[in-house]
Amino acid sequence: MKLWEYVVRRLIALIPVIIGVTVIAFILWKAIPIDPAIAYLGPKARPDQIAAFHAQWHLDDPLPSQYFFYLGRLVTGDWGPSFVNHFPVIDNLAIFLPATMELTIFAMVFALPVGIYLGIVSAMKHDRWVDHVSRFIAIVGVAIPIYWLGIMLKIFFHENLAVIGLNVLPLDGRLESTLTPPPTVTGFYTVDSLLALNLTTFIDAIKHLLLPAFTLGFAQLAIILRMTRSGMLEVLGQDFIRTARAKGLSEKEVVFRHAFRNATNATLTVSGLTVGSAFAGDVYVETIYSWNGIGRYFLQAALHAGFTDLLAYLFIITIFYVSANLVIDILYAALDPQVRLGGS
Amino acid sequence: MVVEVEEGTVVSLKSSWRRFLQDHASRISELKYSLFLFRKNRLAVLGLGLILGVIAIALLAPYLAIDHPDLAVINGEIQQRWGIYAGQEFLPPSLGHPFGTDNFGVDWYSKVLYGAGVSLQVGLLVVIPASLLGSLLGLLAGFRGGIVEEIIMRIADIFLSIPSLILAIAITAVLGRSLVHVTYALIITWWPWYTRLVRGQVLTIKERQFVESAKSVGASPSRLMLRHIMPNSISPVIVQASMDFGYVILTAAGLGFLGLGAPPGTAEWGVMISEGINYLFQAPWMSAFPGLAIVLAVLGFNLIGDGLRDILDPRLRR
Repeated sequence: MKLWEYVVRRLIALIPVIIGVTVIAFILWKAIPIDPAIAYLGPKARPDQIAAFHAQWHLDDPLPSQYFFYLGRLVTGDWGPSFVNHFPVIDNLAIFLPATMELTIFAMVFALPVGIYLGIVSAMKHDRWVDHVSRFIAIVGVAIPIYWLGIMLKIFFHENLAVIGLNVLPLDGRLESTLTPPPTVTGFYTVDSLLALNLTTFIDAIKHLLLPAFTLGFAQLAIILRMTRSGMLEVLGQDFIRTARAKGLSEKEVVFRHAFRNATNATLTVSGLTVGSAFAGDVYVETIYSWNGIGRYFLQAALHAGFTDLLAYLFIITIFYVSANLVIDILYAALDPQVRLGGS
Repeated sequence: MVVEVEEGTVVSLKSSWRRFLQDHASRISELKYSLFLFRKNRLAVLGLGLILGVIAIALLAPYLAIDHPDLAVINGEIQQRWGIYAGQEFLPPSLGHPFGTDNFGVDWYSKVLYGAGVSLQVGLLVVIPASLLGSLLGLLAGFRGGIVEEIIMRIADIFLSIPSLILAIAITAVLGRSLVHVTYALIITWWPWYTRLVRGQVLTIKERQFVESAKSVGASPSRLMLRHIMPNSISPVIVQASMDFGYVILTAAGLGFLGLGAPPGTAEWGVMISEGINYLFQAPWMSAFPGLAIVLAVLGFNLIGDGLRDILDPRLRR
């Protein structure tokens, strides 16, 4: 099978999964014990307002037709008004999504290379001190709750501890309040400020990113490190590595051209999972660092009966998550000729 | 206690015990070897120590703690009420209050101790049902194949395509803030991992020769499934379950931290961390100690899971 054929096949296989997710979202929406009209209009709503709301959103139709009404609106991009701030949900997402993407991409850009590098070094220097430090990071990194790590970092970087000179990083928000955000092109403050040639804003945006991105990336780094290390250890013990060494290749070539290429499977597989846990981690990190992204928005929706917001978020995140995993599966197939495309 | 038994009974008990030992000699030596491997794995022993410590604290909290909650039934759920101690607020850690006190003057050490029981309970109430349900569905899917497998696995895929914390947040948001709802939400998000795991196991074991030979001597499908396939696919489930114990504690505390789990004021680690957030720079110990407790508990379960994986992995065994 050709690679493109495999991609198309996988894309088609995604359709029932995504429809399934909309069904789960719809069941959740229907399981809510509160009348959405009252949640939206407030407790003082008049009966005629409530009736109008019900009619507008087809709340009294039979369930299947309600589901198809919901599905239709989902497909056409009419995601309804936000229960949190009464703006259209889709506008809210357009504002909050880039902030989350910027944070998550930064975190992964930090976690992936560092995790892979430490994993390789750790396997190479098996049982030496680098290995012990790396293993410690790998073990503790997955056991530390993201929310606790964030809070502890905030305590250490607060002015109270100025004595040890750590109060150099901002603890909240995406920019200093004295600065105006750059004109929106991508919604990423770092990219937009560079495009506007505004170096002060750029540096400030980076500074604001450091702690949240580290907090978010640390757990992912630990997972990636661990998988890379065990993958490398397994590969390094095999015969073809001995052959490669025996024929006089430099250690660098042995490690990167021969060993790591064969150890990437484990790393790749787990990278897909870390994307999911990074999205989940966003909810914590954005809450702790007052980062105005969709994770925080989702939590507000969850706490204040913001049903339309909740469903939209669930849908968007699922799309991102399954696409990330699809990309990884394709990479997997592209990198490893042994993987038989399409399975049995 | 002395139990009077006839001479003959004792002898027959003894001899049947001996016969039991003889019959299961190979299994017992295997078990002894496993224990030996576990003891040799220092990290696994450390993990076991941590978890035994957490269990001991959970059981002995009423004796070890300085302060104790009153229990009240609110909306059909048992909830804790901790006192208010004027003049004791925000005391830093000291001998009298090892973990300091909070904004009501409650001894934080006592609350952390009581939190151990809450976390272990959630772990048990989620991991056991989720692993049982998930494994049974996986067993069924792998064994029956065909349309049954297709339906079960597609449903599992749908659940797996939503990051678990996010699905759990959505479910608790719908059901309302309570610890019981957290356990429901986590069972719903956790079972498909076991289904996928067990199905994979069953598919490989089904092809092995001993299953084939059992089938050829006329074993019924249910006997095949329960006596031959299930016992041989159970070890990865045990590893996964011990790891998940930690992750469930982590996630449940996370939901508590976000305000979706146990009600405020409960001795639940996540809730306690979030209560500390308001006084982060005034009383950092409020967030620090419950978080440390989570780290140790999760670490313990992870290390045990790792150790078990090494022991049960036949490739690493000899």
